[in-house]
Amino acid sequence: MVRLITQNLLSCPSNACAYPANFPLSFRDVSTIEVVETDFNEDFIRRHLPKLEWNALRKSAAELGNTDLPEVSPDLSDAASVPVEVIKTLHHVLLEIQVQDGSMACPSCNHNFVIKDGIPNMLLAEHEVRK
Amino acid sequence: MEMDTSFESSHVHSVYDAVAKDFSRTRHKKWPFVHNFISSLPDGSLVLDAGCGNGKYLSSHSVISLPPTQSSPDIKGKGKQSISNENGHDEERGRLLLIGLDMSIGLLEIAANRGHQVVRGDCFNLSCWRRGTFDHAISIATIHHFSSEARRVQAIKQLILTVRPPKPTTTTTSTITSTSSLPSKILISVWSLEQDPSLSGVGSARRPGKKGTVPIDDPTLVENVQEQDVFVPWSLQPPMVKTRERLPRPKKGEKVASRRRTRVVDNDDDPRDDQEPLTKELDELKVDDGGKVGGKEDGEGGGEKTVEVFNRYYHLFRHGELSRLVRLAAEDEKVAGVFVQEPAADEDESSEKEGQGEWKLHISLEGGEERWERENWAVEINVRWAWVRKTPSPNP
Repeated sequence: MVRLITQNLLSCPSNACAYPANFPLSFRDVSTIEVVETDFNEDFIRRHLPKLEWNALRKSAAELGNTDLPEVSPDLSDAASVPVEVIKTLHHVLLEIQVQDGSMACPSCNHNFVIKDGIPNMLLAEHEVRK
Repeated sequence: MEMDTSFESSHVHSVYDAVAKDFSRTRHKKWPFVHNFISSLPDGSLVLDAGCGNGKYLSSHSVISLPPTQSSPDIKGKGKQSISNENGHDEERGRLLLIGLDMSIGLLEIAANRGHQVVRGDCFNLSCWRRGTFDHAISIATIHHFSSEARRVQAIKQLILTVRPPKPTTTTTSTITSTSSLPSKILISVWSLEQDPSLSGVGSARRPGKKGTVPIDDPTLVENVQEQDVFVPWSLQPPMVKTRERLPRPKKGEKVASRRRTRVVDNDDDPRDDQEPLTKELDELKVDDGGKVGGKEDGEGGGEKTVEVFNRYYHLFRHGELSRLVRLAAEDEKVAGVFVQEPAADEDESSEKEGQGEWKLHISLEGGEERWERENWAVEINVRWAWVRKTPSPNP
């Protein structure tokens, strides 16, 4: 079951697309989502903050029906300053919302990456691969 | 390149897909040197497992706690000391997140069913991952499946690019430290050509080369084929067959192409997995391009069983080869790194930085060289930005 913490790392690998235009991948046709309780690890979430793309995460969460994250991002480079309530929300959004089946599309080239049995397929056709 | 990918498709990917469950049963025990590497990583690390297979290492110190499962058939009854608990999950508190990538859907499904985060992808191209996110990476027994040196170098290059930290920005000269904080680390291991002399069994004395391997005779299959390019058979047991049953012998007068008696072992009679060898004599038949060796007898009555044998392609590494490939990857124009023997010890933290310098990507091997880990060659690569002073030009 793919979680948003992973999806927030994925971009389109096509040689026709470059960051940031190839990110985030938009969820489509998501047929199975589950919310799975996961142990809260505050320290881990704080350490993960610098890797987040806040707006992308917020957008992707909304595509899955979750609008808990505030519009304005906290200061992700100052982990200690972020209130614990935000950390708890991030924990829920990043780790507890899980997609089993659906797909994700590149906002630039529209290539569709299928998620089946919780596994996104990030392969492209040979000619689309970036060297 | 096309020949390479189609060769790998037949002799690596489709084999793993066909034997996934069988293969996964023999891949459950974590190798200590890999587990120790993961254990040494700092709290909060995001780690990519490139070529994760059934996700064996993804549970190591993972923050994703898995619900208790029924006792897994993959590790039941082995009675060997294991680093992880019955569910393959570490007892210690979670502090890392490992995410896996692999080509084999069959193996990925096993990992996903255990609750791991995995994607289907190709180690040849890791650009599906947003750059600057992963802190560290491992690639265990994976890049030896690439069938040309260029592809093996590309795989290493992709790993470096994946963990490469963002380039530091110079603010004021007085705050420049000689190296960026902690290096990003990559652990790569590959099967070695050399055998462990202490493990010589009956097979190793009898025939040259690595135990259980079959040299590739056909030069059209692999570019620049060498002694190191081999097939390693995998015998897929149908459920009913007793493992020690002999295959039926060919009938008199029956025509079979290129028969050769060879000692083929099940489940990689392989000290790397600490498995009890399950061996059988197997008549080696002609290999077709699909990577499959037929073991079937046609037109016979009951009492005969079918065993499918798949030939997996490996490029076995010589001592020094992996280090050489790391250097080539480091010096690739896209990586634009410098392969250094060891981290520069010259920079004194307290010395004045004159501002005449630049950040260079330093790539080095921990300990300065590759390590032998029981019939594997392994490297631990450090990737870090280093401030390199420009040597002032001599006064005119």
